[in-house]
Amino acid sequence: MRRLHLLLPVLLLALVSLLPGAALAASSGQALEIYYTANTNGEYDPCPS
Amino acid sequence: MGGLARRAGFIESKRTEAEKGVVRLFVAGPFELAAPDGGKVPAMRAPGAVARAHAAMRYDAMLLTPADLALVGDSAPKGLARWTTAPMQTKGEILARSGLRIAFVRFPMPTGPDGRPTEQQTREVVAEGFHLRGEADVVIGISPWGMSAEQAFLGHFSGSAQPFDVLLGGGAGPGHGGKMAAGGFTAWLRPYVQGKAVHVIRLENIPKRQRQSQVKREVDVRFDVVSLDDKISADRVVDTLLAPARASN
Repeated sequence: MRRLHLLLPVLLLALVSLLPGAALAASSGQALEIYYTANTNGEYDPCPS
Repeated sequence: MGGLARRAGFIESKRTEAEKGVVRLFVAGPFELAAPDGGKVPAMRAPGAVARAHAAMRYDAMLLTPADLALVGDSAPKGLARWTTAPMQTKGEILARSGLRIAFVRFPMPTGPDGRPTEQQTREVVAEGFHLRGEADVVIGISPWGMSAEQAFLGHFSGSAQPFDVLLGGGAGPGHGGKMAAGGFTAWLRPYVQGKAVHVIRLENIPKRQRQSQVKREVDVRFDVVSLDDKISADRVVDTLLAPARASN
């Protein structure tokens, strides 16, 4: 019985971590960095025909 | 040519230098090999070597134009071959990285008057963007349309739902260091001439951004430009690959 009391909080924590909200909280704050190269040229025409 | 080896060194350093909670993608846009105006470029001296150098950089996404393909030739090196398909068609795909689903839409080469996209091409791009928005956390467009057409395209969406979180531009018209467009919804970037720098867009809090998809997002976006100067070490493998190009100088 005493062992069950010790295990109960651990089991509850494990269950909570499986909830979708917890998964979202864990993934919030994720950042995306895009490193980009390409080629451009010329002058910009502000009044294109 | 030295810039390309330094670019490879920079990309490799960022690829191996992990930052917790950050997904990094390396993208090469239009006209990496050819010039947008059909003029002479260094890659013409040894296109095979330059193509192998680009293949060695293992981009996460790339857009090759018909002009780029003409330089690569029929036998594109492994690593570039997958990007040589259908430059005249809108093509979208989703990459999964560390729990994020990132959609890329490669814009087709414009076939309208004055080198601008047709209405049909614009409709296809918009439809593909909205389609992938339902499946991805972030939607990124890669465009060879040029500055004027890209600006007009983004202008259509001011004050209304926009399919693209990011528009990576290229082609005719000058580059800029990055700006918010489409009513503050889309981060728009056009690199400087001939890939002499690596441009960076950082989007913060991706899941939060997705839930607030109609809100202006300036606070969550950061632009940066990294000059490929002597402070950045050249990648030895790419430097060796480029030896034939240097020899033909």
